[in-house]
Amino acid sequence: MSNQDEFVARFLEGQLSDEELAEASDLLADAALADRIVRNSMVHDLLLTAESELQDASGDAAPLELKGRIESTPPGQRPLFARMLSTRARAAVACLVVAVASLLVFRQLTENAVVAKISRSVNAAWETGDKRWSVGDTLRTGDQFRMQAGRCELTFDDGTVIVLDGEVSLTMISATAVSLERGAATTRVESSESGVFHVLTPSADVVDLGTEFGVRVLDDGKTDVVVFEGSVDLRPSKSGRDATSYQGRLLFGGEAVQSTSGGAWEPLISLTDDTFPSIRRLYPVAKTRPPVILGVSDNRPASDAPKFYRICHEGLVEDARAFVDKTYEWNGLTEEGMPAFLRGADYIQTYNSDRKHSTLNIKVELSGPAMLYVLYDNRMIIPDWLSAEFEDTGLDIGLDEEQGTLKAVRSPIVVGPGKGIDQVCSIWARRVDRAGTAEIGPIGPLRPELPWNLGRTMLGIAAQPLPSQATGTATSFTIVAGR
Amino acid sequence: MTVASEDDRRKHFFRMYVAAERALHRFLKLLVHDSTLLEEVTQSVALRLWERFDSYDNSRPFEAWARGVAINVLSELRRSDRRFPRLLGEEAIAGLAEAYDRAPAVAGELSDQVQALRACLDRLPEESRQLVVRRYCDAHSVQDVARDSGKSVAATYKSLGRILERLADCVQRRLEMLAAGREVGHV
Repeated sequence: MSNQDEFVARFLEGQLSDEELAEASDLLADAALADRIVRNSMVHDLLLTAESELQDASGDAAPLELKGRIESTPPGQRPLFARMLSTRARAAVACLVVAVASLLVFRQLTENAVVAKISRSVNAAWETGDKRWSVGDTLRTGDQFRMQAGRCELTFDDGTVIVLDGEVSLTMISATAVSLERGAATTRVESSESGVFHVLTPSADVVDLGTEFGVRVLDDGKTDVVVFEGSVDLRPSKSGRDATSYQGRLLFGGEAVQSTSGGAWEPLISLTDDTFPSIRRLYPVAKTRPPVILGVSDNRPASDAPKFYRICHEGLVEDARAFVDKTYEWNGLTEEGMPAFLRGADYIQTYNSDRKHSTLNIKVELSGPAMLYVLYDNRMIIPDWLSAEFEDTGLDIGLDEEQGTLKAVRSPIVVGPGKGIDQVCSIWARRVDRAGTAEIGPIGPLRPELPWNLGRTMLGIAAQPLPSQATGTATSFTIVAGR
Repeated sequence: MTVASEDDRRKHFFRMYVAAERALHRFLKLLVHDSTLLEEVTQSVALRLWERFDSYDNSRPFEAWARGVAINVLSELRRSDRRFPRLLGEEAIAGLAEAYDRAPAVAGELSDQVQALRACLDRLPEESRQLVVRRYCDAHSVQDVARDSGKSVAATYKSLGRILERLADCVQRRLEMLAAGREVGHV
């Protein structure tokens, strides 16, 4: 399909093929196209339901021919969506009343029940006088969990896992809710039903809407919320002192916010890979050198979604996650793996949906002299800033993309180099001689000779310290809130 | 929970649901491109809204909350073993949800919208208006409309897309004018 008008019409008419629908997932990351679809759908809906609605309307200013034809349309030809919804959906709702009442009784009977157990721990330390929890211990509603240091994993009966890191204070509320009073927790919900698991904090009620998210309560009471996969519903805390001033909002994968003392949420622009504990790897990985990438920021307007960047110190290895909003992975193109100069580099997980953001400028703060790398999709036009300031190394890196609905054109994600590669990106390099900020972007458009609806990926950013900087005292990472 | 309070709660829910039903369905229709699945999803969403109604914060728009719940229901479907080739991917759903959040509120009652649409249709060039009439009033398929007009199907879709965009702009402007007129007492 070569034209956006045609795409929009066929989308709204429900006439896209399965393959085109799968491609639409990529296209609709373009905010302008998504806005147009939403805008046009209202008119399309009105036109489809015009018969009944125009008959009901009080005005009579319709073009004569149109009005006459609308009124004469047989009921059998009325659009599906005007006819199918109300009665069945409403009847189904009414049947639930009894079931809900039964659930309330059930909840009362399960007070003080066992809800979770300690499934793993690493170097966990406890304050004197507090209970020292051990692997295998069970947790009941009302139990209080106070950890001073280390990491601990709690597994709930429905498979939900919470990993706690460092100084943490947590209370078990029920089989589907905990109260986090202090510290960082990463939660992965395995239940087939979303909207059930709650992490309560002094300023927010974080409700799982699918898979994995991090919550951190700082000493000053502020709450950080980060979504790694799926989405969460962020609601004002019912018990918080500023409860009435907090605005609820939905957060999607790759988005992060921090509560402010004024009651609003502001974007968390960047965070590091150790800000929240990993669900998969309980042991922290020892680092061999100080970080070279200290921070990231951009020129995104405040009205944009609160997308974050994740800085991974020495994180660029085979199967490293490429984007904060996608589980795609960087891999070497062959079994030999990615080029040696990239291995162990600091890198930034960018936001894949930004690949169509034509004005995005990313600022990378470097701690000292470094080789700065940009991993750039070969399907896109090379912008002037890239060709002028960087050199094409002539080497490429692969991107192993999740299949999603594109099973026909993508291979599954496979562990290891040279496997499951779906896209190829060129590695561009630039020598930076001193500490400071380097600017990257904006990303170029798709090459004109390629079909307009062809997929593309966001660029990747990595950095290796130059030899003189490879040893020394570690510099602390900073977390940047607010753009 | 008393019978009276439960009854009030149910009435409150139905009032909110009915008011948002049309817009919610339009949202779902963008995400689910299969009429059978759409019906199934619509029912599941309605049930889930009722189940979760306790967690609905009255200070927030019901429609936005309902869209969030609908996205959850779709995420659960996707995580089940069934395959849904006619269901948009998560990224597209997120993109459309964000577009909904950005979209200006649709002003006016349904009757205002229909009135605005009528006026906008009247301003279309004759050929474009005939295309709308054939497709949406005579309920002909796009393929039939294309054949009758001697154009290709792709060109007909292209024209429809352009017309929808033009009508959307026109309707939005008219509704804004109508709302502004009401504010100063002109309508």
